[in-house]
Amino acid sequence: MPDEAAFMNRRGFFKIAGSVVAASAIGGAAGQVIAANYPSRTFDVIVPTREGGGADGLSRAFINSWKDKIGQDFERQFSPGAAGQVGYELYFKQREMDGSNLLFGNVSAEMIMYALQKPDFRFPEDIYYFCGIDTDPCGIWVSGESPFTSVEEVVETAMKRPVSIAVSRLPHPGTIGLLALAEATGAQFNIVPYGGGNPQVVAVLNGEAECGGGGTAGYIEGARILGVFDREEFVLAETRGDVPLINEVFGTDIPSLYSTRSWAVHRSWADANPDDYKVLQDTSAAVFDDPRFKEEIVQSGVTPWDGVRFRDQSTCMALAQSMVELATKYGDQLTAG
Amino acid sequence: MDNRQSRETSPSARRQASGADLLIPIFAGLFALYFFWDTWGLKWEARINGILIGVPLLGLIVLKIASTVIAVAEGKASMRLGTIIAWSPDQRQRLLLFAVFTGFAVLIGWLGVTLSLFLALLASLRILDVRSPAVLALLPAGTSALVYILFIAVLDKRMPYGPVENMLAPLLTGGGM
Amino acid sequence: MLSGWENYGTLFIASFTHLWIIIPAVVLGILVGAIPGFSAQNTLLILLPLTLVMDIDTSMAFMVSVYCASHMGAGIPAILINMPGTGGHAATCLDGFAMTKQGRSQEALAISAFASVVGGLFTTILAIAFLPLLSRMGLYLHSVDMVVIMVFGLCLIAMIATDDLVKGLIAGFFGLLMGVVGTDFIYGTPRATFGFIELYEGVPLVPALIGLLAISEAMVMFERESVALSSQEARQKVSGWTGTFEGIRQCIRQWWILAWTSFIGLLIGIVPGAGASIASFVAYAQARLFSSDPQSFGRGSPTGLIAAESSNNGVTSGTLVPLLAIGVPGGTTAAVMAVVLQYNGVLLGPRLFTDRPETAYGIFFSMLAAYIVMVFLVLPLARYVGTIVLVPTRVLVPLILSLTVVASLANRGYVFDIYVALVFGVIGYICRRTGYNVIAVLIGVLLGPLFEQYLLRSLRLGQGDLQILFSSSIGNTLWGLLALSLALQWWKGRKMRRALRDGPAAKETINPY
Repeated sequence: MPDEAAFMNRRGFFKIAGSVVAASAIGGAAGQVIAANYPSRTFDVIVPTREGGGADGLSRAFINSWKDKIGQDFERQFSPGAAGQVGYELYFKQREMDGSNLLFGNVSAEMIMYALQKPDFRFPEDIYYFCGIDTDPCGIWVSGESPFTSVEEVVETAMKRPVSIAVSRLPHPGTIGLLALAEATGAQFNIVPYGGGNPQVVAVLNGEAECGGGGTAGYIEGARILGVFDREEFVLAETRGDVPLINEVFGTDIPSLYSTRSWAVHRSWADANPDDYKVLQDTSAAVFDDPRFKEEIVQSGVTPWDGVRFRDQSTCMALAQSMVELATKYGDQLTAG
Repeated sequence: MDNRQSRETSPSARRQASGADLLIPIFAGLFALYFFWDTWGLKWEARINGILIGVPLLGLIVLKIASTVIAVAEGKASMRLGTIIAWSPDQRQRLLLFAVFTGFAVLIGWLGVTLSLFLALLASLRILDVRSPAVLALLPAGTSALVYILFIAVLDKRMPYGPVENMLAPLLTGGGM
Repeated sequence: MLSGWENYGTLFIASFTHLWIIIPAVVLGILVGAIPGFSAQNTLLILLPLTLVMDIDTSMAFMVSVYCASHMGAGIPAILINMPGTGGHAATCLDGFAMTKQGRSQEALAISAFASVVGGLFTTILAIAFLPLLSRMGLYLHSVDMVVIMVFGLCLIAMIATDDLVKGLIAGFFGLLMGVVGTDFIYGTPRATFGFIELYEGVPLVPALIGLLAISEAMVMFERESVALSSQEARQKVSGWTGTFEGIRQCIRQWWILAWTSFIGLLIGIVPGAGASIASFVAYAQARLFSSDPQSFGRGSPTGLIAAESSNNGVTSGTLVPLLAIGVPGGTTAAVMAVVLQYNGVLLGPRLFTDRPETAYGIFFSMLAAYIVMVFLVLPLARYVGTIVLVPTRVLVPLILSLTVVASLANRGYVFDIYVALVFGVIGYICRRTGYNVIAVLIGVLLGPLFEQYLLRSLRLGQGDLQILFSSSIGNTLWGLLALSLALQWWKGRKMRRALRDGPAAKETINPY
């Protein structure tokens, strides 16, 4: 039985209620002291999205394994708002740079936010993303009743008239993919943001929008994925089936576009404390080998397991950099300014 | 046209004090102008709703001001603010209560939620002339203790910590989790 | 699918085997609902570790019971101290608190409890009987149709502003403009935030509501000795069971308003993202429209309170429909339930009704059982909780102010939100003192963001062409009904004004809100 009762990290009353289930985990953690002084206290994590969403489930499952390996618990604070800007600004303005304050963000979407809204922190000077977890490849999908059967048909129609495509929000890698595809083929996409995954799904299912654009990891019964923006492979082929790569269909060279949730820390602390930072990197990387982590991801269905893969600091930072560049390139179509 | 005076004004007064009636239109008008200034230059989707609301709002405000000015010119009303700014024991208590809870918001970062709530409640009871020592002692203590237990100990809401919370923190983390 | 009454009967009886968890869950739900600034969603998230280790049927029985009971619990502070804990309970304050001021708090609480329970029961039965049909309903309604439903709610501004149209409309438009503050729905660009990042998500609703209603009320309440206008009369009314029986009698007498408004709640609840705020105001406007005494609304009309409370509980039944039928949670609490269902390997969507009908329907039967439990728990409670009106205001006002600031803070954890509540308290106070309609401001703040969201989606779909708003057959039917409603309202108003003019004693025309 996984350690369900401990992960919420609520003090006091409910902790006591859950302590029976939690006891075994704590016992296990006590024997694994990693470094002499670090970490010396519970980690405070800012999650710049809403409680109850995908980042909540994913970070919870990850923490359940990680806390045993690093020897400290994690307390999460959800600070949603303005595509992540609220959480990031809170992290950089109000959290001490002591290695015990972490951030759990969505690298792609939030770096687009960074490029477009120019918040009060600097990339890459202020932050290290050091442990990417999942992959949500962006693509184009339709409802089971859609007349479109292939991405070619969508583009062919969009060359004659605008095709409406529902997205969860405009500053998203999926939107960049659509804009790049439109630029390369001359297709006209009427991209309509719905402010969240749920209303977006409903809009596609009820035919209000002809297609959906963006992440393909969330399972929607009856929906068909027509194509994905990836240069190499559709990483979710095992769970979602074979899907054509848009670049191969149209001969384009659109970058791989996907979302990945990643742990991040203040860069100045990491540079000043390389040994402690290594503890963070090593213990987080070790979570991916923990069968309990896999078991929890599969059971909760928060994301398909074939999309879960470790991305180290250099991969995450490269992804973040490419997102900043793409968002800057398409900036005039993604902002109101 | 608006022919009803503010509830603020005394029916027995010869001229209605209509100045108070313009407070909300003035706030609303300034806010609408700020909105237009702040969104100037943005794409139409970001502005359209504000324009659809702000333009009729400004129109209504102009109408309201015009009707008031006409009433003043005709000698039926004055621009006085009436009892909304008049000094009275109630007004004094109201301003003090407001000051206490503004002070609560200012000090909560240093004193923490428990202590600042205790002090705010104690002060406001005194402002409203509660004299009973039992009520003055037990109500603030009981309420702030309840808020501490409910919101910090049980529900673990992120509330500002101060001396009381820091002192009691070992009790909560003593469980080792 | 379930077939046969025997199967329904078996599930109904089976739901009572969970009474051991439903009863504490109902008590907990009422408590957390009654604590301003807290919510069923937060409670369920905190208790997630416990619900995940229960078996799926028990955990769902627990969660739906907390959810339904919290909706009813939130009516208590709304009625007693004018403090709505959620947007869905703002409409409850209009007549609920007016009744309290008349010393009829026990009656108001009984109406709230009875209308909630019966509205909840009725819509739950409807949901069970027509689940497949209702689940498709959510898919029929498009953004343009929702624009019209929003206009239905916004028309309430004009309806309640009839005494002084210019002032009422200024208040309403001011509220609507404050509702536009925050990032825009298309690009996410901040607008009119005064540079505060805390306003990027828009004006925080709970502090704004609490400020407009509770703080502004507290600022005038201490001028009297007691909340009730006549403490002597109030003392008589809260002692004994008379108020409770009167409340029940009112609900039974107005059964069709109760049924109609809870049905409105159910339908609006089915649309993901719409929620109780719009449902309760649309229901309130409908009840007022069909009332033979619309002038009593806002002055302690039992009909207005019935509409607000029954529609709220209709929404709770409705939000679960899209969750089960298409796997899309209709609200934030339903999203937490989705986590538990998925954790237990329950595949949400149309197949749920064929693969696991006992789980799909079992959730609604648990809801039914929870409502039945609530009748026995809550009605006696009304008798005792209602006595709060006897507490002198010099003690009550500091307590209310303390609760409001803590509730504002607890909601998002930002000290900034206390200032928001205080600023809205000042706006509400000035509105009250100068005859501007506080409720009109409130409806604007609440519905403004929803209206903008649906309007912009529609306009974007129509690529800026306004004709899109008249492109759907459901939408056009709704536009027609809206026009009819407004014509009926105008005609009734005209008739009433004529009667007042001709009558010997004109009624007091001061706006009650």
